[in-house]
Amino acid sequence: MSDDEENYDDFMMSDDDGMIEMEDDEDDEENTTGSGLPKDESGNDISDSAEINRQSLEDLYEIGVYYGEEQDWVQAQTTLKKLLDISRGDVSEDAVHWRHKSLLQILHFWAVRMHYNDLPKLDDVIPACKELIRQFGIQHDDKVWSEIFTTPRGFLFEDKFEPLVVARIELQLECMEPLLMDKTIQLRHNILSIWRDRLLSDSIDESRVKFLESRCFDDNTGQELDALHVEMVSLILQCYIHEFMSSGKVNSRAKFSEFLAKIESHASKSLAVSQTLGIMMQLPLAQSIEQVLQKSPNTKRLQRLFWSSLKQMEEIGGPQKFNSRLEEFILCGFIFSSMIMYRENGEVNPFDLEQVKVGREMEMVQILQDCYSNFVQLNLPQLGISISRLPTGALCLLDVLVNEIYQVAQIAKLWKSLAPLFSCISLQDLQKELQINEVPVTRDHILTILMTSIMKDRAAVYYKLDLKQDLVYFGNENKVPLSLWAKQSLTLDELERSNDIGMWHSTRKLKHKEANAFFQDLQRQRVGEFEGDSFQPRCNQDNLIHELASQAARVWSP
Amino acid sequence: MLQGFEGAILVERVNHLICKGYGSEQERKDWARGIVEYLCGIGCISTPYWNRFLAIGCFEILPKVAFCESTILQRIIAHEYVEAVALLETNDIDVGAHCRSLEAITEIMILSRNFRELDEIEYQVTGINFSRQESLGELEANALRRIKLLLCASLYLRGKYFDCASCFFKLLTNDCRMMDFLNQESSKKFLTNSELLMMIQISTLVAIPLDNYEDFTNIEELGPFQKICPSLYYCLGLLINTSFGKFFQLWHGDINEQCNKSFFLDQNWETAQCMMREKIYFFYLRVSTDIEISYLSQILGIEESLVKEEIENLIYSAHLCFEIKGNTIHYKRSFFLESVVSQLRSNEKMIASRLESQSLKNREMRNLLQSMIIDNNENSRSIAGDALLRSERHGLGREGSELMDLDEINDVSDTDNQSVEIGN
Repeated sequence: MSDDEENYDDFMMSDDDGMIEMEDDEDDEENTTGSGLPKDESGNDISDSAEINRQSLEDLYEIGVYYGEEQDWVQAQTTLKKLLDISRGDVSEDAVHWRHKSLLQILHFWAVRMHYNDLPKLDDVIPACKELIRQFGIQHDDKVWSEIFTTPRGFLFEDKFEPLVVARIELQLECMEPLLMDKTIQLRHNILSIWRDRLLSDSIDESRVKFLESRCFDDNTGQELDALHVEMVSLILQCYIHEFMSSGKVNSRAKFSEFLAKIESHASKSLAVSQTLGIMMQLPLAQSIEQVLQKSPNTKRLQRLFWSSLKQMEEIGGPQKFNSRLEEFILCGFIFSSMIMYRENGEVNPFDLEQVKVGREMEMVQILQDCYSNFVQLNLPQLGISISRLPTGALCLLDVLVNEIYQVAQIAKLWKSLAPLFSCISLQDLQKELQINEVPVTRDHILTILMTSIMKDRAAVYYKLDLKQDLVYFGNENKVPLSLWAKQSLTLDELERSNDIGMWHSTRKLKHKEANAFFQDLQRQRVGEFEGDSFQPRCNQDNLIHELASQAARVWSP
Repeated sequence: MLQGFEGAILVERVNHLICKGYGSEQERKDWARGIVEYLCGIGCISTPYWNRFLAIGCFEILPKVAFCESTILQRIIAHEYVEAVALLETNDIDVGAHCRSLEAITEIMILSRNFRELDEIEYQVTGINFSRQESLGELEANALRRIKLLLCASLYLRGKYFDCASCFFKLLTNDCRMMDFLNQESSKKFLTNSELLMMIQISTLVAIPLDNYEDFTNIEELGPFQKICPSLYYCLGLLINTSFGKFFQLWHGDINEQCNKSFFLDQNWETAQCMMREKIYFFYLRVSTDIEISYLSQILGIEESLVKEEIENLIYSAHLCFEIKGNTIHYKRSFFLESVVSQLRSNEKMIASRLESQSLKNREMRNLLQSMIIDNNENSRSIAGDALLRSERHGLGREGSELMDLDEINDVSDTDNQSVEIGN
């Protein structure tokens, strides 16, 4: 590999931050190669010379590069074109080599100008592209293509974009027109078209997404994806996220999940996928969206996903103001899921975390803080008020979580502060006590909370319902035997039946079991090994003796 | 609906549909005609349902009866199961086809509801361990899987819902290829996969306590199974959220329909259906002291008379401490020994009164004796002696009968309180 090629590679890397490096490089160039070259005359000299040797082509190339570095685009262009003119028809190895390099350089300069929103004409670029493809084909690792057909900075689902972005895309698309017979150019054309549609009309052509999706993983099985494919994956993810952020739903949910599963499995194997900055942020974001859409009850995972999105967002975005829709969504999502998880692992206050602390001056963070403390203190009406002060956009997207927060708060309020206080309360009063916002709490809702609590073993206090007068009695004294008979006195058939009906099982949870262990546990309960609590006092020997004594006392006392 | 079935199972299924009055009259007629033609075609016209098929099929001329090529099939269709198995067993069986012949026998046993023999087969099958299963050919391994699933299904047919569910999930988790196997319908159909999955669904719902449904749905291992049997998980979701009304809509709607038309499912559907209702009734009784039948009927979407009848039956047969007064079901705390207490009391009174009268007599006797000693009259002493003897004999007799009464009391309390004995 020659020095020039290395230089070329350096340029290819140049993007936002590469700019500084470029200036450093310029100085170096001048010291080494550029110093001996007089600017105008030497170029003319060589052009006049009849003998075209390796040296002169190389010189022309160097001069072209030099002009480019000086940002004298016209001179650079003419010099490199001269090289092409001179070497036209020459098939010697040298000539072909230098032609190739200068074609790449022409495109590179074009890309650099576009990068700084210079938006040059296409006159010279299109022939250069055509010739490059005709003579050398498109190698997948040709960085020049991703350079000139680069996508805009930022994400499809963001609110603000750089100026002139649409004009640049139009220019890029125009440049692609004559090259569309090539497959990778087709893919790039689709990518940029999606961007254009999004920017111009805020719509995304699903057939284009579908096209990209079908090409994403097809031609490589398990190996590293190249840059173009990673870009496609990232863009498709952005399309889904954009769809959700703007409409609150994803139309083809099954495909979304399928696609996510593919990326997940790829990310676990491929560094190119998992370490790309954009994807590092989008993947947890997309996963959390998927979970919100599925209304999955696994809040712990959701909290983790929102948390990693939040961290990635900070890495990408620098100081946060939490004022874009995306930032609102992620922050609210994280705080909401932390609230739901509070009773299980409330030891970490999310507002102590650095990533949230930076925004503590922001109004939204303060409102969220109110929500959090009202939730913790179980002030239900205030909780409703503070949640309603949050931006409606984020609330709509997260209504699943909001509803869950309300429900968790009601359950906690019921068992933490109402049940221990009252020995008897009417359902109507409970409805009033558990009201959060203007939406009335129905009697059915109260009953559902009570019944699911007992089924999930969340009822802190035992209770009985009088459904005739709509009263609830709290207190362990309500735990009474439901059957006259002891389990031991049943025949085998009766036992089987009463087991199926659920007369004897314990209220102990069988969490995190494997299927076999789960059924073995149930089997043990069925045959009569008592484990854990029950919803009725058990007739063991002590109980019997106790009862005998109390009966005797009743009978013989006057 | 009858696509893909042949032989005895086809006959049974057609008969089932006709007996259930399923479909339109024309459809039933077509089925009957079809099956008669089929039976004549294979030469097996001896079946207990023959006359029924003929009557419904309205034949003018019977098709020609062909020569029967399989005596075994003939026997099975004629419900001569013992003979059929005997014939199968006398056939020379290739060692390489052992499982397939065992499968045929299992099917016959299930048709004949001969569950004792099935236990025998289960014993044989568990002898074939997993490492050997690997070495079996594809055909044999699949036959073995089908046998195991059939055995599992037979537990449903026996009403052992818990065993059915636990046995199935054991199979599912122990054999990694079972999942794929359930996804594809086999070409030779006896019990279809969808019927089997419905059995599992019913058994799981009936057998797992309400409180543990959620734990069941969280078993990670069974994640892939959720895709195979989504309706089970849908039902579980409804029950976990106490949407009992919606659940029963499904239970008495779609699920009932599927069970009714299936020859196998229908065999134990009634019991399972009722059991599930009782399970929910019991849950309501468990959390309430007072509840109205009309209310239950309304929120569960079950007819009021049925609710009343079933709850009455539930309270009676499970000895629940509830009583029904008109429309209201009310918790009535009755103690374990309460039923004996009144008996004990009346016994106590009776004993007391007997003791009383006895002591009265003794007193009389003492008085008499004393007066006799005081009188010290020879003549009157001999008369008094006779009287004493007489009254003593009489007293002994009464005492005997009182002892017997006490025994009776013991008897009563013993039988009523078996557990007391066991407990001691």
